[in-house]
Amino acid sequence: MDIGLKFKSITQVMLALMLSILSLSTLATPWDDKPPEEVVATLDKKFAEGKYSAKGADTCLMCHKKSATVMAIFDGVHGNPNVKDSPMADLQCEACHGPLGNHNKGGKEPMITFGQHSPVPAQKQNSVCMSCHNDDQRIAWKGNHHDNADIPCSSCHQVHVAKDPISDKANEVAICTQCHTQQKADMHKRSSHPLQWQQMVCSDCHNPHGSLNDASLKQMSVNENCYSCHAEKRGPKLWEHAPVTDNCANCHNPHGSVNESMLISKPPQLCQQCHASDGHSSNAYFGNQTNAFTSGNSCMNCHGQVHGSNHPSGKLLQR
Amino acid sequence: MVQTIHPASYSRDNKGMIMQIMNISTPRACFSLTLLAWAISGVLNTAHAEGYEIQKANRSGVKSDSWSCKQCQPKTGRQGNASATLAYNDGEDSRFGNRTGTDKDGLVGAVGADMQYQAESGYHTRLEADKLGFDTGSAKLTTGQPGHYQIQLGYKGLANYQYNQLKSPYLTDNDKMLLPENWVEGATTQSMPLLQSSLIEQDLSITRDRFNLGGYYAGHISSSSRYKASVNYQHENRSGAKKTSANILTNSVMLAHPIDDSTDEINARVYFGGAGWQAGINSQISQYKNDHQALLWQSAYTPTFGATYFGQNAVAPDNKAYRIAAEASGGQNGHNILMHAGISNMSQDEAFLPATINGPSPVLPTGNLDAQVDILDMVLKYSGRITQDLSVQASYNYQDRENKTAQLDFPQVVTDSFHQGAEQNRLYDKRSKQFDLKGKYRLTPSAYAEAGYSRDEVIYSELDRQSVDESGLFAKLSYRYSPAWSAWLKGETLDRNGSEYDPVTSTQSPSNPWLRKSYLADRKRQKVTLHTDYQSDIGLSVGASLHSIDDDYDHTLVGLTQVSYLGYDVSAQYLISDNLSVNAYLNQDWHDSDQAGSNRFSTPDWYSTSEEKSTLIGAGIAYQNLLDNRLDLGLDYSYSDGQSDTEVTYGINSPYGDYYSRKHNINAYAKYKLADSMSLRFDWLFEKYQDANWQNQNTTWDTVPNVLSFGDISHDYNAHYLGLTLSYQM
Repeated sequence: MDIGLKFKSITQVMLALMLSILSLSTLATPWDDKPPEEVVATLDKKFAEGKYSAKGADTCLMCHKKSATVMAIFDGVHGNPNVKDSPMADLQCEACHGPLGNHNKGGKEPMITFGQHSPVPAQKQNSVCMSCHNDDQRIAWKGNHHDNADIPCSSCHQVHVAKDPISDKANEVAICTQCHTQQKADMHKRSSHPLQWQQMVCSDCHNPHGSLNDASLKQMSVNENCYSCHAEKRGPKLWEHAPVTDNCANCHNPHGSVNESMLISKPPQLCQQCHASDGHSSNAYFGNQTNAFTSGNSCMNCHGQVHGSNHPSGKLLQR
Repeated sequence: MVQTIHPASYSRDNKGMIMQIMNISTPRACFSLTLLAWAISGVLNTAHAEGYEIQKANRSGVKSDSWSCKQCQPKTGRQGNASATLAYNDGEDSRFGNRTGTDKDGLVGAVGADMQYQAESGYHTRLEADKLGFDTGSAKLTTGQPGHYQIQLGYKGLANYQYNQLKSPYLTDNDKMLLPENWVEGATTQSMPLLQSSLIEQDLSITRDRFNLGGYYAGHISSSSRYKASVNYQHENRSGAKKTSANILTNSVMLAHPIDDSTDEINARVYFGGAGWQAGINSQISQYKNDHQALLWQSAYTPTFGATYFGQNAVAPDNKAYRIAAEASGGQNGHNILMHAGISNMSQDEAFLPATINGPSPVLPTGNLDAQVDILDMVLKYSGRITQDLSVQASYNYQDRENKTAQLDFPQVVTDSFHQGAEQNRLYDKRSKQFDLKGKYRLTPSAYAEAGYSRDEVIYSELDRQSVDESGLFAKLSYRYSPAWSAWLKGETLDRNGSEYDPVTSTQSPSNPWLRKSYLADRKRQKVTLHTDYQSDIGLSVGASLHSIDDDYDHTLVGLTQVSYLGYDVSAQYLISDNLSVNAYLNQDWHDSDQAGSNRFSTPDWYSTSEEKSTLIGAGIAYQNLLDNRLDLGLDYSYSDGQSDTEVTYGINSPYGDYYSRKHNINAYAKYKLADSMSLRFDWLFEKYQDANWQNQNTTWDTVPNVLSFGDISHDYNAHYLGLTLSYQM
């Protein structure tokens, strides 16, 4: 099927899906029926007034002690008053959920809540977390991809637990690929970095809290990122292969490909996208032939040093 | 090196202040942008970023003396679990080991743990171990006062299993790959009499053992400012073999190239911060050492002339790199500026191999390259909330890669066979300047629009194009219909062009004048993404996305001319109860590309198309707390199918052969609680995998007269892993 026709039919299916789920609705907290802007205005006012509880966490737990989720805060560092700078060592529950105000009189007055369902904008939710987690790993948080897309910290992280689930490598990839679905598809392809079974995780290459380049890579460029694990390709070598020096992604898709070696296309056609000198690199190679150009390692049967060579006679990347 | 650049293309642009800024020499540009950014933040000092930062809490009414937190119950002492696994692993085809973490065939064992000790003082020690005993095992010991200081000792294994069933007549002996002593050369692979009888199994896999030791110390300088210093050392050993090829003239052999190397790396950082600001320095030193000095290999072929019975290839040279960078961020009232400057250096001075091992080697101009590449990078980012509804971001990235290696004439003895004069090494420099400006406007509390402009300018040396520029525009509309449901649509257009395409002439093989190399060619790119998701508190979440990318290499006659990508995905998860959940997903994408070539070194006379299709489908169910909270069950299934159809048209249509991979995975487990502190888990992993590649499908070692290959190296297996894990809960 033509890709244009596919685009049209898939779009129609997606629009139908979007319309079908419009009829569903949810309620999670007593103030969910209030307009979000009204909730936020109330929270702003409460935060400015600073009417904190008389007895801190003990006040909150008078009602919330029955909740296992609430009590699980004490399993981790956030709930340990003995951990320096933890919320429980300071304003306790109200450090994150804001001043109690009149919330204890019926429980209907809003408190700061977290998550994608919360009426509190992500930027305001995250301001709570960033109060303490404003360190060198998050120096580029403001304006980064996740900040800009209004992703609350709690979309990926949990604090009412002994151990944040995303710190388990088996969970990290699953959580990232809930949104990054193209990458999920890529990592299941014929060749990919070993993300599918979590030998590697997304944060081996990316800083989800923002970095100084487009794809939130941990290093300053694609190549420097690749050299972190592939130092053997760093060189500098005597005979460099220009597109390799320029950008590893000129030939590879690091998330995965239906082609071997994560290549964006297969040789000899991949090589012929840049090589068309008079002679063998210009020729059309038919599929029903078995020869040195289409069999074995294709062009690399002879030009095996495709990532560069340090051999004095290696200009043609054969040595 | 930093130079003042005034490309003519800039002056032809008339895009106001943005272009004027980019016309300024780089350090001055950064300085000017810094001033501009500070000026913006100074002028727009209205408070529009009210958050709930703990530092801004109104503590005037807090009477913390009576906050005893009697009901706080922080867990102290030892807790956690330790486990031991005994399993049967099908290692007949080692590729299955990528799934299980080991390629051993038969009984395998591993241990795991997740234990912690929490003292009342806040002192915390944690030991985590996973699959320790398998090649992909890991262990980490962390101890210290979280937030104050911590020391970490870790190990991590990585493994990449490619093939264990392929055969070749070559034996590895350190840096040498030799044929049997009684080997009889042949003019072609078909005339090598001992080829079939000399074949021995080769294992293409690479394992990594990574050790690290690190820690941090954090403290307060004053009540409002703090510091954090951290250092981490990592040592990695890599061993195994990878597929490569070597040749003499036009005769080639495929080899299982031995890999034995190590990398040491030290990272050190120190950062200072306070309310709304941060500044620090980070540095990195890395050293790569290869245990192999060369790849000396014996030719299987009868020498075409002379006595070229051996060839010698270079291997990755030992190399070093360091990097140091400083960065600072700060702001107030919703405005934030981030500045970064860093320098990197990559170097290697590995002694050269001789130009040839067959006969006397010509004198080299130097004994080693003394290669040096310096990279300078600078970043300036501004993000600000101009009003309650409008936020703006601007960034300028500058990176300059300069190859400072000496340019010398090196005698070329092509494939250890014949002299072809001398060639000078090329020094590829690259200088890029990237400018982004985007704004986000909240239309209603539940909808926002975003738009942006980007320009990326790259200046190259010694390539067919001196500069490549790409400009882009994007727009995004995001709408949240309810707290549970949201959707967004994003469109982006990018236009890449550059200076006049002028193929390099300093080569003995000039390019077809109609060729436009794909990574330098003019390109028009259109991207569309549509996404929607629904997450309810009744446990149902549904997501769907559509992605499309169209690349038109509009000025290319020879080379890559068109690439189209389309993909969609749908996923759903349903938490039916606290104990029962199901999920399912479907992803499909198509990636088509067209290119043209010329047999006549002229305008196109042949064309090729490549149509790739990929499907991923999966479903899973997890059922917990059955049989009086004693039994947990889980089952996941996934199927992935990727194929690629290539066709070349040159007078006639010539489709290539099969190129596909198909994989079924089942992951089932049952965990039964034997006692309060003891449980037994049974795992069944199944993989059915099959692939084909027209490069080697239905071939043998001697199918191609001048390529001694590995033959047909496709996979086709059904493999099982059956494991029993006994866990003890402390």
